[in-house]
Amino acid sequence: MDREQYNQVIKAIGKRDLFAQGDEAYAYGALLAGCRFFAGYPITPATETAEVMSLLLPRVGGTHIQMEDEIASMGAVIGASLAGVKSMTVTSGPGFSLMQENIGYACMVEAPCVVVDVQRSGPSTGQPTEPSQGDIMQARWGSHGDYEIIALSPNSVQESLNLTIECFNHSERYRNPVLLMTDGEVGHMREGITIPDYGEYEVHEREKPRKPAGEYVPFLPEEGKVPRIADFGCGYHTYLTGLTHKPSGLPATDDAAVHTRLVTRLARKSPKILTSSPELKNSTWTTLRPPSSVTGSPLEQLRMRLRSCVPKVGKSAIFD
Amino acid sequence: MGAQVKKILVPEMNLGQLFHKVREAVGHDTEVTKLSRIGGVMHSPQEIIEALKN
Repeated sequence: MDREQYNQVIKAIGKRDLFAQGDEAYAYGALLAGCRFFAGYPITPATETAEVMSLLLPRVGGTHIQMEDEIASMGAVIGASLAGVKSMTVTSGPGFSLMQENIGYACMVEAPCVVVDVQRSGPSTGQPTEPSQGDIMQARWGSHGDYEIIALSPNSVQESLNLTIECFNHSERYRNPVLLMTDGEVGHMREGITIPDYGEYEVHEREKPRKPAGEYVPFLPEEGKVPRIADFGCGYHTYLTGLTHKPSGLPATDDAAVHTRLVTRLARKSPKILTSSPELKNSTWTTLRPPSSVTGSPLEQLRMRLRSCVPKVGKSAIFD
Repeated sequence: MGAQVKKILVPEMNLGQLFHKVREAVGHDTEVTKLSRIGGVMHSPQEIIEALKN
């Protein structure tokens, strides 16, 4: 994301100070983070994000596609991501259920992508126009097998924009799907927001392989635990499968050691989100000072609000 | 039940899933330990006995 691309986004949006709803802010945040592909299927209360993306993406050289359902939407997002384009989809509970299979696939093939879930009341089609926070456990455990997920949760329209950018950064940094677990209340709430200036926010660009094509091993990290991605079509050989695979990417489904090594790496590659991110670290604890006229006393409350639905402190909150 | 036993071991063929529900249910009554195994090879009886001893 260079200054020219940033200016293009601002021109498409129109201005930097806006009166916007959460659903619009997810779209603005995505564009500011460099998202240039969106695939989705309309659903209340998430449709407005798709509308904004369909309007603005073509103006910044991106692609919007409405798919036949949420399963296909998630598939398109994974494909676009592995072709080298930052990608996102938006849905609500019923669609989030359908996406679970492909979210697991994205974890296994390590496809960076962002899924925004504007939660509504379930189970099933439930109450389309009523907000809920009923998909939290599904965010953590929705797809089968052992995997780690990063899930952030905004409480205002400004934070909806900021955390969407952060979702993209985490997805690229850790090569993992990242969920923005918001709800119909925040999605349809309107507030004044300010779009950050160029340079005021971080954009993590995808790290390309350092090794030449002949020496590239798709799932062997060059350093740390996250392998670098050779985008489809860039001249490197790569192989993707949901089956347990060796570092070469080729399946090896009956070898306990290969499976254990792969899944353990996947489960532990993004260990310190909560403590490593300034955005999350500095804002987890908030002091509330209700005016004394309301409470009758200068009562000071301390509340803890998790911006991450799957808090990770230490090695791994879930598996260690 | 947690208060009636010294320790609860949860052998699972995953990285720790039912373990969390067991720990949630017994609270601080007793120690809950997981014995995770993935990759398709089942726990052996010896492995479970050893884990219970430790």
